[in-house]
Amino acid sequence: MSWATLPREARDTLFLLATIAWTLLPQLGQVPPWCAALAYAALGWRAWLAWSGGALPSRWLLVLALLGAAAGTLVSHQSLLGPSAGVTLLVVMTALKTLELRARRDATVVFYLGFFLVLVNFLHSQSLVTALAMGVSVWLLVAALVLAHLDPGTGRTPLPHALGLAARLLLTGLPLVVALFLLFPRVAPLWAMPGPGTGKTGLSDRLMLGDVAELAQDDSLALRLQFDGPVPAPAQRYFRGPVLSEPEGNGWQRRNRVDPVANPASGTPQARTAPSLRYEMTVEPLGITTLPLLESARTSPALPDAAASWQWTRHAEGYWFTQRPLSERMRVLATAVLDTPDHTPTRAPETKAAAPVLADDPRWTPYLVLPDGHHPRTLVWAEQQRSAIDPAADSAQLAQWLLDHIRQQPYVYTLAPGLGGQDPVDDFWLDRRAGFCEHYASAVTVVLRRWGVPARIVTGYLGGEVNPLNNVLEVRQRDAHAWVEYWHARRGWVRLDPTSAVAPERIRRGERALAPSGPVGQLLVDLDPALLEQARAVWGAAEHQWNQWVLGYSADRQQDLLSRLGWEGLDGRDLGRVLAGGFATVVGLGVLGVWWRSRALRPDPWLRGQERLRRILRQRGYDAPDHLAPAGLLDHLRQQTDADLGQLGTVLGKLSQWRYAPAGASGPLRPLWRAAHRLAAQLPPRRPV
Amino acid sequence: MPFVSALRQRWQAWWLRRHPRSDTVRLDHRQLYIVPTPSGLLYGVLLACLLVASINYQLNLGHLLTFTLASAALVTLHATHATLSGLTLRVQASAPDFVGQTIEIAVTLHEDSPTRGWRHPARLGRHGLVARWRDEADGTPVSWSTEADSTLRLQRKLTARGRQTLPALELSSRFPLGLFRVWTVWQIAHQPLAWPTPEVDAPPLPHDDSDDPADAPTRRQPGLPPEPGDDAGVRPWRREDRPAQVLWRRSARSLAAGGGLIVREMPPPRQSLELHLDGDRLAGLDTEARLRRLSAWVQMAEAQGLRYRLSLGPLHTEAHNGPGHRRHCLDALALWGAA
Repeated sequence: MSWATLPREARDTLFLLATIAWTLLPQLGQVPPWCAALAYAALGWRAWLAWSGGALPSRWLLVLALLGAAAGTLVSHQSLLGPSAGVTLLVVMTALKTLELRARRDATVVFYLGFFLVLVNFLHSQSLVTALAMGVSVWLLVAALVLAHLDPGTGRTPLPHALGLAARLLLTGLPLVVALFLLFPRVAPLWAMPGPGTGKTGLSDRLMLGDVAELAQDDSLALRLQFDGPVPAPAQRYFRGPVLSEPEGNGWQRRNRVDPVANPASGTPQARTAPSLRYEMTVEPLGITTLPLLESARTSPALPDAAASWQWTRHAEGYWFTQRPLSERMRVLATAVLDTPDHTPTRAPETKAAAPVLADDPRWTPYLVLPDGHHPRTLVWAEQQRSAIDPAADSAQLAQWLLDHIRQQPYVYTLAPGLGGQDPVDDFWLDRRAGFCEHYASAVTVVLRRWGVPARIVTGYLGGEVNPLNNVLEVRQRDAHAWVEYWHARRGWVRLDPTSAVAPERIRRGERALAPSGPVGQLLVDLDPALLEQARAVWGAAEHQWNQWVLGYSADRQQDLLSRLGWEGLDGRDLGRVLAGGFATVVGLGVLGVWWRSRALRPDPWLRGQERLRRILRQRGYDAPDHLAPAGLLDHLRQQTDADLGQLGTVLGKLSQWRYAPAGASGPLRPLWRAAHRLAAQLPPRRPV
Repeated sequence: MPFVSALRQRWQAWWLRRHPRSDTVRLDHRQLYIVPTPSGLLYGVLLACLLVASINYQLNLGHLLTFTLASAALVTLHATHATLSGLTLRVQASAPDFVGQTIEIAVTLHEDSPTRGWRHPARLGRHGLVARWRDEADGTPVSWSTEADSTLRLQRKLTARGRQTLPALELSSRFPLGLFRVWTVWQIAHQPLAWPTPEVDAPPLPHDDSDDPADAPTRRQPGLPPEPGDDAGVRPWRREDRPAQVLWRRSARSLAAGGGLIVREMPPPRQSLELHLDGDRLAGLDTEARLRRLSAWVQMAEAQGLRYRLSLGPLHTEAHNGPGHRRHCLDALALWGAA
């Protein structure tokens, strides 16, 4: 059996099934595997039934499958309520409902569930790709709906016809869509919804060796920045994320309680007059509570679109955080002060004696602790090396010594260091000597602390790429980085990037270990390496516009647009009124237009007068057939009454003449008909026989 | 409830005034009604749910989806209206037939709006048209082709003798999304004529004016063999034979056996004989029964090629023969007693 020989009904069903399968596609990674398998199995089975013309399964089987799905949901999500469980159930129910499709008209529920699925997909991603894919979904769903109402025998192939009609239907409505999107008041959530539970991979509040490696391979976007002035150099582009200063086993974690009195950050000497940089940044939902900002942000960032409930606090360790994870895309206006002291190679000892760092000083203890029983070999190595260095060396010299050590020894920068041994720091620092930023930062921090230099790990982003099309700096998840800060008595916390010692180009040029993904990417690289970069740039620019105009369109943006259009100070309520008023105006104009057309369609005044005459005569009890013209009507009346019809006859005669006279040749019409009506009303009433 | 019935009467009067009977109707906004279907109301609920979800999860794409679907609904409203708007319906006079028969009423659908020049973008074509008599449950789908006028053939069973007042015809559509239903009600002015049903097993024709029709069945008609049995007086069908001569039951048997149609050999028309089918002499029968008998006799006389004339009460016809005369007589019988 081939497609052409299938009955129309079966073909329509197959089309609908394909549409549903396409719409379900983004859910594959979101719902539990059994749910995806069940949904696609149901769709496949229904498709086979449509193809082979088999009978649909009994209702009992479907009820059983639904109960099983409910049980599975309960196991997978521990609940039948909540968004994730709801999505799982929606996916299963949509697929099972197709097994109940008997007639084309039954499909209505499936269509509507399909539209819900489209919305559910937006919970997970609102990217340009998702939007395009779901746009296709909406088109196909509408086409399937049109197909269900299309006549069987129109002569044209139904499917392309329906697709064309659906496209036309959607395109016709496009201006209204744009108007509604721009003008519909953006209101705050009506009630609190449980979060969609999209834990994104990204920076986290803890660092276990290996985490950042995963990030490095993640090509998705994290930040987008638009600077007021020129974009700073790659080496200046450190975005400060969570500071990890508390050892935790083999890794590090964020310090939650920092005594503000014993806060070394407050003692950071202020630079003389550091250049500051204003910028606007779009932050993707990173799923962390920290807002990565360009170093260093002293003043609170402004989030014009975010709800007032977002409270931003500056952590004593120099980063900005809030109480809940970043679960939505945000626009941030911030100012960076480019005064973070950077480590500079100095070998000469400090001439001015600085206050020595004492291990029992409560200000430094947190930055000197080392995990008990971990990295034993590195600690022993540090002891041995310390005795070989000048005992009077200050922290900057010690840091420089470490950088030199990394440069001179065969340390390698790699994204895939392989599986480590028992202790990842020992393994990296002494044996393998291959790792990425996280390994270097960890090991350097451990050694510095062992030497009595307060040190901590800073995570965040570094570099990013400037899109040549729109001059927007794009920072991706793979730009995630980890570096070290050590305390210098005179300069305060100094940034030290040990990775720069082994892979300086990663810092200076902002270049990344670029791994083209998939065969298409590989092909592009084979053809022309610049092509991939170019394609990436175009796509990035498109995505930026998308984010700016579609995803980032908020109440604030709306105000902006309206004030640019000349409507200042409209709040949501006013906007609602404007929309309602506009709608009422359009409807009113429509009514007027209809009335006007009705007037145009009315018979001309002469015929109206004649109709009125007939009505009067009928009310008096006379027979007045529609087909008789005035002269004939007069004769007809003569047969019915003995009353004097002379006057009426004169008037009707004039009316006949008027009717056939050239236009404008006769006098006004209205008095004639009025006289005829009056005379008719004066006729004696006739009793019907 | 006199108040309710008065209200209903007023409503009926208003309704009739709104829809005067006519043979041609041009469909525009004055004749068309449009309301959301249950599925359309469900769509409204869907839109509300989508909007609330978009607001609560602050999904700009959700807003976009909601607005897209809402705009599609608005376009659909116009598209559904445009499936009927601008059509001109014209009924064609239908041939009369006997009561109990189903006649075909042909309605021409004519495109009245300009096919060239600017076209309203919401005009998606005339699809999903369904015609239905208002007193019947099921409708017939109408296929509309853009090239030529479409003709809609409606079946209607004739139920009573005389002029039939057709029930209101409803033409409706739910195209393209089934969210709205547009319909029009057309009171067709044309009244098809229903002849009285010929009496089954009617007595043979009264040949002699002096004959009493009451004992007619006892007398065999010379030269006219009864249909079943008896091979005398039949012959195979020839091209010039009239359908009325065909012996259908025997032809069926013959056809089943591989033969052809069998017709009755016509006796030479006896011009001298002039039948007078006098309904007034049919004592003991009520008017309708007399009309049915006369109808049957007209059929028989016509089949035998006899000249005949009718009379019943005020009705008198000339003696004649042939399809025209038959039609004249049957029409007169159908309208007998009508004002």
